[in-house]
Amino acid sequence: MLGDQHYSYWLARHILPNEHLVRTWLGRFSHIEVDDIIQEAYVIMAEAEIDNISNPTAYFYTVCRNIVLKHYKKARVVEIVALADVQNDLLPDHTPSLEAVADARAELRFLNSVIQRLPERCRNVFIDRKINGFTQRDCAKNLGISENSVEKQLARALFSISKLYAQRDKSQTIPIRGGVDNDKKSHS
Amino acid sequence: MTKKATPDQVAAEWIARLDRRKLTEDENRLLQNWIGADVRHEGAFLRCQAIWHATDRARALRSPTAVWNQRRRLPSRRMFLSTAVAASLCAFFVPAGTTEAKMRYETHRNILHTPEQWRRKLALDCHTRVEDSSCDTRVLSGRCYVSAYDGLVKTANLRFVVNGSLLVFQGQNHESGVVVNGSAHVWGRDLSDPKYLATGTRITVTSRGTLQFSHLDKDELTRLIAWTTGQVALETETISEAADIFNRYNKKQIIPSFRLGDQRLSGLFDLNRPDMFVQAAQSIAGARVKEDPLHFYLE
Repeated sequence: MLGDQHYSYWLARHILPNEHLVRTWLGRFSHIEVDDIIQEAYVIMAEAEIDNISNPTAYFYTVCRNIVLKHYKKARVVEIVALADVQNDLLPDHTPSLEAVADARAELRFLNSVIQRLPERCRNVFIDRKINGFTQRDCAKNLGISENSVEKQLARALFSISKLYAQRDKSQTIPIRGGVDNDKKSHS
Repeated sequence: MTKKATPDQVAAEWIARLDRRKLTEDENRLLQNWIGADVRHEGAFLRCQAIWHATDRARALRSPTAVWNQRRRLPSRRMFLSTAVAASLCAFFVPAGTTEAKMRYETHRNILHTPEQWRRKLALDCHTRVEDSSCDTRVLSGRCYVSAYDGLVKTANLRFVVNGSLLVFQGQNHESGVVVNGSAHVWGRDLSDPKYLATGTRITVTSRGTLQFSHLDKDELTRLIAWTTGQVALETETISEAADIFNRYNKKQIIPSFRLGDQRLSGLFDLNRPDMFVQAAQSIAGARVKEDPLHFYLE
């Protein structure tokens, strides 16, 4: 589904804003690389029949859990207890609160804070391209730098933003149904 | 592309390159090889692409109160071309002014469909003025149908973030917005926090400044946007009211008599064919018709 804008906008709208929650949840499992699980999940979700997915966040959790299970089953060194953790673990309550649904401005506030945290040169390029809507060539003219520099700064901005999406609201916790022990890593 | 970089870094570099220009054959092959080499590469690319699209929302941050490094520039060739395309769509289209980041549209007796720009498409009803920029669409007067993804639409008192289609009306004494497809969030006036509007929800700021919410069914929505396809669905309007509608779009005016004025005529008509409406009035309501080059007189 590479290059399919429909999927990409769906991922941008429904998955990316909740990625940090899924990352936090994945962090409780041992012997996995969270980045790897997330990346694999994007591939699977980009091949799904998205029109039939009524709760994208729940779907995201389920896809990740299945990938974790697959990794555990493949990695023979993983203790049996870790595998049982995933199989028995209860998924978080992924129903978004009314406030979360209503507050579209939260996304804008997040983006605003992300942009402010970019290095100055990077930020100027990003603002000219994504907020002021100029082409990379026009950005280069406006900022008096080469087009190659614009491209590099834009890639740098994008990479920084991708990291910030992953680390978003690290302190935010999500309620777990059933009161499962959160400190699964202590088993490893 | 960078060696020994993380998949996220490499993906960001490819996305930036793709945004700059079309890839050469060699580059395209390199990209495909990189993506195919590891499922994590493909995932990183998809995720980065999603981030690129997610950051499109940042356009909404560009408001008069936000201090971005805005500079006035001469119109670019790209903007000039898009203006030319828009102008060619309709003889009455008046590009009242253009800058790099702002377009002004004004219609008279015509309906204007703008080319897609900044991931927004607009349809302007007759006698409508709109300012469209990379960050928002301002409806200054009249009626505008906006189709957008995370598009910011403003009236005098309301701000909408639209994901779908929104019909906006800005009159002298009141204004309204109705979600025709998808959803929107609205704030402004007495709404300090954004309020979610589902399909069919209409918000109105009355002449007394109060907010009213109502819900329209699918048929009513279809009727409301019929003008975007050059049609009018008459249902409850009197012949007088229907004549007023046709007269807004056509030079040749329909003048009904008092006797006919209060009668009702329903049906779907082309807005630029007042003669068809007159024929219907003649055959159904028994109107006698006289005409000169500028008028239809219905008696």
